[in-house]
Amino acid sequence: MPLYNKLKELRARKNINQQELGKLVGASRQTISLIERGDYSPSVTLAIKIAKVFDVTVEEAFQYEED
Amino acid sequence: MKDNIKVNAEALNEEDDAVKNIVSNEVKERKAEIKQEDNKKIGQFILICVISGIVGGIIGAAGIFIVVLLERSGMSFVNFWNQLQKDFTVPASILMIVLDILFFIIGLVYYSKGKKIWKSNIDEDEKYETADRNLSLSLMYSNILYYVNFAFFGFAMYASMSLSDSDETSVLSSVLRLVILVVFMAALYAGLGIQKACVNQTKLMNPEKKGSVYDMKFDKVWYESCDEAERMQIGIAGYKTVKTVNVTLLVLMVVFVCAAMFFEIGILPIAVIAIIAFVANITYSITAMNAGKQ
Repeated sequence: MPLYNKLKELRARKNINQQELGKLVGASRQTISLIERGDYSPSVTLAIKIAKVFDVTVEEAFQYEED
Repeated sequence: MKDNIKVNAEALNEEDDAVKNIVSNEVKERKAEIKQEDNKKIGQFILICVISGIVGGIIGAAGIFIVVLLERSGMSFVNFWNQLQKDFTVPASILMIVLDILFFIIGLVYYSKGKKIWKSNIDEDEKYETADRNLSLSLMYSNILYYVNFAFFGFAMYASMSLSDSDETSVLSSVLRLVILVVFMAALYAGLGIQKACVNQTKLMNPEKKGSVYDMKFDKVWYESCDEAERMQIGIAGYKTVKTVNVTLLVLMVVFVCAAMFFEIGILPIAVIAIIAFVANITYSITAMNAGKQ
């Protein structure tokens, strides 16, 4: 999957776990885990919500790279 | 001024014609691509049709052979079938009890495993995933328990009715029916118990999940509490289910249509399959159309 992310790093910086991030953005812990591992590409809405939680732009949280 | 407008209009017309030509060429190219794709697969399709015809012929010939064999032995298919069902009374009852206990134990083992893993101190990702997988397997086996229980309850009840021909067997038949009924009710209760335990454990692990197994709208409430990734997983599972059910129904339809040509199976099996196929396909098409509007 060509969508990379810095969620783990951002979470560590804000000191929140997957469950807490999931609660903040209205997603399950499993979904946050899938996104972090690159196994699931979130919708634009969810990506924006995640970026807002960390106070960064979507591009800072997620990077798209062609295969 | 008029000359300018005329020149502009002509230029626009020429542009329109050029665009039309490009579109027309694109349509021609697409049609050629579609034809090429069809041509690639038509050989395989014809081969499958021929093989299916041969298999159908073999099944037909085998059917005639069985009918002739039964007639020669002085037994009609109806008599043979009735005898088989009568002989199935005790095995169906025993099988019902054995399978109910088996699937209940498997469900219980997976549930306990899931609960134990969730309480353990392993890596969080692994813990949730493994626990979730075990709970899903437990739910799957409790569902199998339900269907096996219902099916064998029906088989055993139907078969036990054939025992009531004489006074001697009518007592046995009544006792057997009572036992079957008690086992059936116990298995329903046990299955519900496992499902409740699994759902509540999942809710404990995932606080955002909502729904009670006692609620008639459980599926809807649960689905609404799922996020986009989980709904996508449900969508993939639903799609695979429809594909598998369609193939299964098609195979069963062919089998029963072939069987109806040689044996007196009645129209019920074919009617049931047709109704399930009709409902499944109509539901799929309407849901797909409505989902497109959202």
